[in-house]
This record gives sequence, structure tokens and C-alpha cells, in this order.
Amino acid sequence: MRLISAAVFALAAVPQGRLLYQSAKGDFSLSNFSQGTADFDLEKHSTSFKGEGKPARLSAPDRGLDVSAPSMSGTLFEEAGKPPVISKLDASGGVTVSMDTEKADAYLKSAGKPLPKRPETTVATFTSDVVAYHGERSLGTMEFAEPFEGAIRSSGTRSVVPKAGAAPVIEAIQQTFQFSAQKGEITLDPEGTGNAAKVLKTGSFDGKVHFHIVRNSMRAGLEKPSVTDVTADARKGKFDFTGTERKIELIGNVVITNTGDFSGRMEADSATIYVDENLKVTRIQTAGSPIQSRFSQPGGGGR
Amino acid sequence: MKRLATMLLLPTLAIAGGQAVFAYRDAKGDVTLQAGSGRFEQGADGVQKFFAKSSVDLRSRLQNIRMQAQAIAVAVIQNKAGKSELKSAHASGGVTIAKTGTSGQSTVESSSADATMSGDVADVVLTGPTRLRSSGGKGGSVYATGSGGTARLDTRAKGGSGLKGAMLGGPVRVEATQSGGGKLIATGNRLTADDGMRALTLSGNVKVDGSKSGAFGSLQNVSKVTLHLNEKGEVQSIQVNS
Repeated sequence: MRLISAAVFALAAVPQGRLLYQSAKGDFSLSNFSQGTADFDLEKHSTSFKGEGKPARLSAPDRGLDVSAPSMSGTLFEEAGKPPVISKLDASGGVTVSMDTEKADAYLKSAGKPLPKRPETTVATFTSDVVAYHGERSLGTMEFAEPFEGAIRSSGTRSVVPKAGAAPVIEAIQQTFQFSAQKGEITLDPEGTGNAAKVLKTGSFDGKVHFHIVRNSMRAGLEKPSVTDVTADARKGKFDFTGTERKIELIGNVVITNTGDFSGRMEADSATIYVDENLKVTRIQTAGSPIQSRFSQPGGGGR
Repeated sequence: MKRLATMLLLPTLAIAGGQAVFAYRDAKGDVTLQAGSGRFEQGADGVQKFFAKSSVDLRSRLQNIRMQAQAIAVAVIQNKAGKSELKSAHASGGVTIAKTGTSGQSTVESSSADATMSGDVADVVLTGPTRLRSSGGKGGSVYATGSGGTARLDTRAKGGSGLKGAMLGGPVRVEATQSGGGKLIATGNRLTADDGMRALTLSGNVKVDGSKSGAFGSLQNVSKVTLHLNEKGEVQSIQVNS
């Protein structure tokens, strides 16, 4: 690409934390670069950059997006009336990608921009030594060639009908979906918000795979919250939240531990955890030969 | 030769509106000069030298250059075709050099200017506050200011604005039009313009600001930036490098 082929810029005198570039609408910025390259094509509406910092930062404040890494390169493009899209991003040296809807809303409010209606707040974080991303406006793929961790935390309230004919009640929900592995990739909706089942689409992990799902919901009028706290470890794993049957598949030395309302531990060769759109674990299915399975409900009683 | 030139020159000395007018026009009108006063020397090497003062207006038709200043010392030669051309000029006091290309025009303004014509170009050394304006003739234009520098004019004007390139010392300021609309203002310590003013490189503490109506935002704390212009003279891309 001509844009970045010849460009090598040195910003040795740039004090840490000072801005390098901010888009005209304030919806995208590159900052804290100490050296690198950049090309802004005003006719193709694309921006390419490559640089280093301690760490260098890419921010999209109206989405609460922040990427920091010592080394970073990428390409963005803009469409009229829409926020810029990161079409490619390669970062290394200790990468943190975070998206925080509360930060986004605080920015939008301070900028006098309209606030989107969000039933839930969302904080998504991904960390690894190396992250490669490519995508479009509503679908992106994040690849991790090195050990990585990810977490989607969401909280909010919703109106639910406890049973047919009953009056709706308010339910407060906090959900956390964490994962880690030696390498892998995920696909996600870059503009998605809500719980992990709404932000993430698919994932494929390899080596020391670990999932942790925590869901704490409290309905008005009830004394105790409903708690789901499931951890799952395996040699390989993948998840698919795109269909109506959202599932997490685990293969090899599977260990599932539940410390929520149903506590217990299960070891198996393979297993599938099914969740609903609210990230509630609906069932756990083993395939192959379970080695050990012990679960208990609150108040005792194994099953 | 000296006699011929003197004969052409003498009839043009006149009184206009009570003020003495020093005027020269060669036989074919290729070089013309008007001023409040002046003198003429014919060198042994065939070079005609004019020393003009007070609202001097010098034009070279073949080189498509117009130079205006309070004082101009100019050397005129005959080219191989026997036509008059400027060989060099030293101008001082509110200097304006205007150049018209085939698809645009350019203007150079400075406190003083030393121009040397060679081949198809005129190299001009500019002293004092300097302004450059280059227009592509299709809407886009570049306006640059600095504290002296150099400019290279295309004396054959095959295309473009007639300004082949320039270099200005700082602080420099460039005002240009963004492709798609909106202004763009870039500042720095030094400006180098190449490729017929289609590549403008600013260096040293560079800052670039686009207008809210344009595609470009704001860029700062960079050591080197090149603005690439399209055929219309609009900024089509901005490259940050060093």
C-alpha cells in the first residue's frame, strides 16, 4: 500500500501522553506515539498508521474504545455520518484492548452528543502480547498468537414476567464472561453492547483454555439473588453465540466447576455448556466418558 | 546593437501626468519595463541592463513572468531565436512575481528577490517575509507564508501554476483546500514544495488543522508532514514521516 510504504516518522521529542491526531469529529484519535508512520487519504477516507510508544494509544471515545500497545499499526476508514471503522490493527509488546460504554456515555455527554439507549453497561477487555484484528463495521476478527485473556462485564436492569399472568418485575443483572488460552481467535460485533452473548459471536481457543461465567441476578421482591458461577478448563475450546442455541464446547481434560446455585465439579473428555441470550447456563452436556461428576443444589443433595 | 537599443528606448521616455516615466519595450514586445525612473546600460557582451525605480513593472512575454517592485535591476539577453528574455533580476521593496501557467497561476511576494533564469526555470532567492500563492485553476489553491527562502518558476509553463517548487524558512504557514471541502492549515519551521507545488513538506514542530467541515481533523507534535495535492490543487492525502 502506497500510504505507508515510504513513511517513517520520528516523534522523538513528543512528550508522553500528547496527542498525535484527532479526527475532525473527535471520534478517533492516535496519541502517545514516539515514532512511526501515518497517511491520511482524504479521497479514500482512510487512515493508515504504524508506530511505537510507551504505550501508543488508539482511541474511539464515542465508543469507549481504547487500544494501547508499545507497537501498533492499522488502517481505518470512514463513511459519511458514521463512526470510523478499524479495518485492520496489529499490535504487539503487551496489548490491551478495552471498550467501556460508561466511558463512551461520559464522553458523548461532555461533547453534547446524543446518548444511545443502552439497557446494559458493558466493559470488554482483551489482553495479550500480540493482537491482530481485521474487520468491518459489524463484524471483526481478533487473533491471538500468544497467551491471551478476555473479559466481558455487563450490568443493567430489565423487566421480566416471573410467571404467566404475573405482573412484571425489575431484575438487576450483573454478568461476567472471562476466558483465556494459549492462542486463539474470536469474532465479535465491534459496535455491539450488552453481555458477552451479544458482543461476541464465535471463538476458537487452543491450549490451557479457561472460561469463567458469573451471572448474578436479583429480582425485585426476592431476598436472594440467583447466582451462576461456572468455570471450565480444557485443552481446547470454542464458543458460538450466533445461533439460537448458544454453546461453549470443550475438548480434552475438561474440568467444569460450579460454585453458584448448583455447586459441583465435573471432569470429562469433552463437554458442552449451553447458555441463553442472557448468558444464563441452561444445561451442561458431556460427550464421551465423564470421569467424575458431582453436583449439589443449595441445601445439599448431590445429583 | 547599443545604438539600436538606445533608439528603441529613447522614444519611450516620456512625461505622464507630470511624472517622469521610464519605459522600455523591445522591438517585438517580448520584454517590457515601466517605472518612475531608471537608466539603461548596454554591456559589451550584448546584455542589456536596466536599473529602474519607483513602481517598477517588468514583464517577459516568452517567460510569462511579471515582476513588480519599488526597484528592479534586470539583465535582458537575446536568446538563440533572437528574442529578448530576462537573464537575471534583482528586485527590492514590495516585490511581487506573478507567473501564469497553462492550467493555473502563482504569485510570489517578498521584501526582495534575486532571480536567475537558466534553461526552463527561474530560481528566485527571497528575503524577508514571503508569501506564495499557487492556484491549480480548478478550485484548489495553496497559500504559504514564511521568512524568506527560494522559489523555482517554470519559465516555459508547460503546465500547472508555473511554480515548480519552493523552500521557505520558518515559521511557515500553509493554507490549502481539502479534497471534498474544507480548509486545511499547516504550520512548521520549514516548508519544501516539490512536484509543481503538488507535494508540500513541512518539517519541525509541525501542526496541521482541518476545518470541521473537512475530512481531516488535527495533527500535532510531529516532525515532518507532506501534503499531497491532486490535479485540482486540493489536498488529497497527508503523509506523516521524517
